[in-house]
Amino acid sequence: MMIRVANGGLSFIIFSNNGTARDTDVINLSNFSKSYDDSIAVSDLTFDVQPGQVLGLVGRNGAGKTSTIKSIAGIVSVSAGDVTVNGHSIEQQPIAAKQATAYVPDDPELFTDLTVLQHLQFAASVYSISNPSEHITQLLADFELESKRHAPASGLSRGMRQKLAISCAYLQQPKALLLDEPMTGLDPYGIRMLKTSIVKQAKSGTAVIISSHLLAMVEDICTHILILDQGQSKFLGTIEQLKTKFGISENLTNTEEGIAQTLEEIYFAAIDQPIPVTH
Amino acid sequence: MNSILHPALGALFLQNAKAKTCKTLRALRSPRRMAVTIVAAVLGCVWLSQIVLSVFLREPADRDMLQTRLALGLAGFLLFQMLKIVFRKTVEPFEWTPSETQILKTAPISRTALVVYRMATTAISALLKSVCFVLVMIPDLKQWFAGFIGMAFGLCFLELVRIVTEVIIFGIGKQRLRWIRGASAVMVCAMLGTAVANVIDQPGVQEKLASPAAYQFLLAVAMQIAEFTNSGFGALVVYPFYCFSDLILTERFDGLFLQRLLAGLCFVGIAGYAAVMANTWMIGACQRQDRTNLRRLKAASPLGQQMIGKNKRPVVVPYRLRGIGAVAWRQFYGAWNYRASLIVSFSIPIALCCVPMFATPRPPNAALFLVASLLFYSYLLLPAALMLDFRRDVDRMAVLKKLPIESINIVIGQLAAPVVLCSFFQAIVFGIASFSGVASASFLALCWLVIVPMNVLIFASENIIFMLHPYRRNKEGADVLIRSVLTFTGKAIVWALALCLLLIWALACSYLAKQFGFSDGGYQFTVGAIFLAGTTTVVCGLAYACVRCLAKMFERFDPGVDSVAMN
Repeated sequence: MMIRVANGGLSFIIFSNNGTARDTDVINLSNFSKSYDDSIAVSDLTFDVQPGQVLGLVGRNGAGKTSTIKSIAGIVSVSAGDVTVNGHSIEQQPIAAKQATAYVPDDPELFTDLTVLQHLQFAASVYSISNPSEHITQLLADFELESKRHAPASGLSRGMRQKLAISCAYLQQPKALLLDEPMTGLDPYGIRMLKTSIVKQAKSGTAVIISSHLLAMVEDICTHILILDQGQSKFLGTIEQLKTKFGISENLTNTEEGIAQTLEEIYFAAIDQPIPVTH
Repeated sequence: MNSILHPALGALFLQNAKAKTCKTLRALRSPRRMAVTIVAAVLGCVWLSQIVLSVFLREPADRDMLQTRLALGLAGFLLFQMLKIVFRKTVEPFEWTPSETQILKTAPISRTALVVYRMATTAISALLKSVCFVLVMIPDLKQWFAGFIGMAFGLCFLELVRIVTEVIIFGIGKQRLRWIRGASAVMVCAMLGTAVANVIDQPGVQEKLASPAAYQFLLAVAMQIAEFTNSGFGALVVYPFYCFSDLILTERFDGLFLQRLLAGLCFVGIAGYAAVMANTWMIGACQRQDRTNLRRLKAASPLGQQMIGKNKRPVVVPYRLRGIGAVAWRQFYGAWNYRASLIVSFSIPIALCCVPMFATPRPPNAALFLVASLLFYSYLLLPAALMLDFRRDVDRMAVLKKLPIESINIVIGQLAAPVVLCSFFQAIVFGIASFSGVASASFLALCWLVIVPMNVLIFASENIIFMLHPYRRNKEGADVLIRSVLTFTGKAIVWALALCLLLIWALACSYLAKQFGFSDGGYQFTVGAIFLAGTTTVVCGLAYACVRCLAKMFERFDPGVDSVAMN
């Protein structure tokens, strides 16, 4: 079954999805819209993410990426359409949907008085994780938080807070993992560790959505890409499909003028934005 | 059970409480804050000794009078809170912190459990306030424990009803809110109008208006408002509060006490249940509004069109003035956004300051009363309402420190908005005073010589306190309560000391004038001139020293350490 992306003025055949959730979908958005007082942040967005898929959400600032992720996470309400996680509607069955979801915000705010370990213990308790000790120890070691085990969150650096938020998310062993600008503030080791771990999570059957402006990272680890522009979908498909659509085929050389070759160039072509020129 | 009381939230609550206590104790022992600790300890001793003195020296109040005042006081406070919510819709009910939004709202925790968690944090604050209440009211309470329970129930009930109102107001549409605001305004005006009319009709109203008993008139109006509680509806509204005041003033633990305890518990339980239900209703209502709004936006214009049209304002670049202009401009812009709240904050002190002006016959020292009351309100009440300086920039201290502007100029820029606004408030009162003939324009102009540097002194010292012990606005908890109590105690002591010094200085001026050998004609003028010159010089000197001190403290403020200590 094949459908077209419903909006954006672009018709491009992509997923085998008709907008209704299938048994295999972990995350499913059907005609999702989100509005605030005077503006529409996201309009009629339809896509799904299946187990093992890593969807990169890219677009300009204010394109609606964070609104989409926050709606899936259940932080902001859904203005129209359906959002389901693991078959549960985020509005009708929020607890079941949230039980399957882990969310890492772009700037993690932690409980300032709690220590690193207490945060992980709290996550284990909230998500009903049995025997979490071993997993916690492993996560602390993986993300270099061992020495900060008993440090209060208020004393952690930006990168450390990011690492702790990611550790809490991984501890939940979620079916859907939502990452909003996850690389911000991480050191090179942390970035490499995160990239590897995202791929590992996806291989274990987690559906991942990453919102990011780092196109190289998106190209590295994402299996699919969704380009948002002014709240509407401009493209949804695999990286190869994106290249075929907006770049030109492999038999052209890099030097050919006027043809998008790198993912960055393809991205600018997709959102009709001229490539900035430095003088 | 997890849908009402989630065990993880219970653990979080306890861990937070424990960590906060440990952190407060650590901060008190910290060498960086040793001076603050010593001052706080001294002020704490003063506050406690006041209570001890009150226990030994104060006669117990009349039980009936106390019962009525407690009940009506709580009911009046609730009415004020409800009106405040109706006229100033909150950004979000329950006021979740960013960490709670990110962690708790995305967790598989029911909405009810989250509301219960928030109510529990509110209850802690009520319990602490009840402890303070019991300490202050020891001479009047026969049973301390009953007093504590009664006040705790009363405050919890009050908070819960406030939450319910806040949630309902947040959930209703704009049109309905306009109707409610209109109806509330009409109701309040009708109540006040009827009360004033009744008082004016009473015999002997002229005596009540006569000074210095002008306040008697206000008291009579308040009593008239209290009379409304004798009507059927009024009695129903204040009934729970009478139940709480009965519980507070329990004389012995008997069946009646148990009965009142159960009644109080029922009221709190009902209010809590109402808060949970209101929250569920509000979520549904907001979703419906959200969908309606989306339909409206989609029907109105193409995507984003509305936003494009709104950004066509001319670009205004404020005068730099060595950086002072830019920094002050930002604070004034903030003040403009909060203009409605500022008008409300100014209206009440202006009304209170103006009472002596309209008393008949006018008191002989009405002008002096006016200046004194003006300074009193400017010193005690307005600094809390005019937080348009460093106190609202706790998260922007690093940005401020990084600006290419000298510290002293940043301090002047930061203090400009509150000082100008406070002076504006005083100018309004002076304008009314001048118009009503209470004082001559020249007298008021001379007073300005003292009042403007006094405003600088007041706001600079408020900011010094903030730099010594940074805090966040709108934060609740034991530390906030203790800080408020100690700050007010300290301010009251400084106020009393300043008055004593002023009296001594006035006597010294009189002595100096005599020493200079002035006769009757020039004596008054010389005393006044010496007093004004000396007072102005001292106040200006203190203001200058405080601004310099604040600049030095701003330079030394370490956002990495000091801001963290405040979290």
